[in-house]
Amino acid sequence: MPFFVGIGLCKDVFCIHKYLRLLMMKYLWIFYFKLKGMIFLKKNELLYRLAQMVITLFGVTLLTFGLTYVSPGDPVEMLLEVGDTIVPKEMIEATRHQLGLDQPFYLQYLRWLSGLAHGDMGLSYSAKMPVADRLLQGLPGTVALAGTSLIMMLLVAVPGGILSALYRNRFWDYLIRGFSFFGVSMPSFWVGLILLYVFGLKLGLCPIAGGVVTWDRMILPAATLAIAMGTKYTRQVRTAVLEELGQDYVVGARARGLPMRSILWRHVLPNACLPLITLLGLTIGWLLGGVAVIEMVFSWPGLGKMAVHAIEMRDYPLVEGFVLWVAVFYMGINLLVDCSYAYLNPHLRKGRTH
Amino acid sequence: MLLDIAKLSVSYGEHLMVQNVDLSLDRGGVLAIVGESGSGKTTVIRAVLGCLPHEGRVTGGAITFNGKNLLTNTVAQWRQLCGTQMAMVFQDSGSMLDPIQRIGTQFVEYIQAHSSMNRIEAAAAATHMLARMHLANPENVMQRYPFELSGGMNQRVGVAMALFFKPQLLLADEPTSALDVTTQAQVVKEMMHICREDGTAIIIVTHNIGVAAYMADEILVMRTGRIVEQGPSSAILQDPQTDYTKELLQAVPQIGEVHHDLY
Repeated sequence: MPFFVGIGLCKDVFCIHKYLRLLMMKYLWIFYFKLKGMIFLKKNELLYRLAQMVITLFGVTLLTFGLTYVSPGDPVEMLLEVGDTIVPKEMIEATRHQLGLDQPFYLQYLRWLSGLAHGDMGLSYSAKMPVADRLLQGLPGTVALAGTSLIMMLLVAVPGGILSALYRNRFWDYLIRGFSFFGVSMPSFWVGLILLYVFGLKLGLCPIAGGVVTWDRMILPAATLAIAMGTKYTRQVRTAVLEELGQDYVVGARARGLPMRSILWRHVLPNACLPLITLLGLTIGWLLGGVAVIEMVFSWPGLGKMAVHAIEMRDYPLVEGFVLWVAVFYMGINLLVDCSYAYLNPHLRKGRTH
Repeated sequence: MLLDIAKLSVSYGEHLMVQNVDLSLDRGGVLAIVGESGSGKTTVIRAVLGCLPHEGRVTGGAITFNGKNLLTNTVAQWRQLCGTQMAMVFQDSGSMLDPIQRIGTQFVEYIQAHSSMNRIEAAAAATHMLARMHLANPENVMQRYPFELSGGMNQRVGVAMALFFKPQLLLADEPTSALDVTTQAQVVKEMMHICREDGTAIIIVTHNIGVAAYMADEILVMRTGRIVEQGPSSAILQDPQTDYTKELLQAVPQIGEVHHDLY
């Protein structure tokens, strides 16, 4: 008996697999066609945007290179002089030559560019490892912090903003706006320090010392960021929802006797999302560049802290690599936002076919 | 008596918009409210539908519909009444629909909000209703977004939605003034036709006396929130009593043409 049951099970499992695979194929096809349609509609614009991105990247990297070149301080001295040690001049010159820093500006830049074209971002002086590896070290911390704080922020700002808009100029609205005004007015590094003092030192709920990426160490910096962003976003959500509530289609929906709940969820909020998505894209780009102030306060091992350290140490290749990463990501996210915007707004999507 | 409005006053904030308006309407009757913009004619029918703008509220009087005073209604009672027993057609039905959802989705949502039809039944019924409003290729219209349709098509969609549940009272707020004259006549004709079939009473708000004359049994002239003149349409048109009504009649130079088109 068990043998047959076994076979039956196997057959079943096989069938489910087959079914699932078919289902997956179906959705992949649908997704593929949607994507194809979307890109096809925006093909010219997409190419244009990509070309624009490349030009911008040239500008950004050249500017960063130039700024680091003219900025005071010598990376070689920073590298070699530890404490009061006096380093012989010949050694400084030798290191400078070895790092290629004695070459003219344009040669240094071209050398860096050609390295980049070969997938080599150079070596970080201070970290003594390839720049790409150093960036990858800082990335998990930054991505984790960005994701967590973004989710925390949305969980507060979206309901807060909606509530505030629905109860405009009544108790809840005044309360929420009061809080958000309070939050906007406080500098985030100060909020961070207060949170550290209260929850870390006095209540002992969270570890104070950072340095590694763990969930319990992430709560306070993420909360600090969420407070800073959430207070701003609450107002944005409120404004967007109020704007939509005043539209004619809401009157139309009420006249048709639709329940307020479904007017809100099915019509007002999707429409209010459109302007907010653009804003969210900018915020995500900003977060993924690493939030230096917060990372310094909590000594969080992310890209922001790394960048500050790199600038202090005049670690040119690392600064350059960091700027490149931020620029690429910022523009990439914004491109994605524009695509999604065109996709969510039928007016933009269909406007192109006519 | 289907609808009876007694001494209705409405104010927007501090500003008194409508004062002491009395009107009554029988089942299947057609009443036109005529007046210049700002005369409070739209406010009256919005008050009937419980759909006044944010700062507007009824400050006095009574609105009795089917023997029940609407002003004592709860929000839920309004909701059940609106769109089923009473429905409204707006000046620009296109902007009264959600711009990022298809006509079909919104029509089906509306039907399902007031009935137990499933999605497929509702879609079929909606398509049928669009066809009744003489929309060519109604299946295609169901798949369109409001901005993809012309003003006349949107208006037909608006009328089709308003008349779907065979309401006892249709409130039409300048239903044709955004359309060109030919389309105006067609939309009005189709709307009247369906209303006669279903026994729907109409209150039409318009500044076009031509449309009013064609549709209404009775005309009510309003100015600055008060009733100026009231009576059977033939009497008002042929023998206006007040200077204001005479002015209104003269202010519609195309009245002969419209008459010609409509009759």
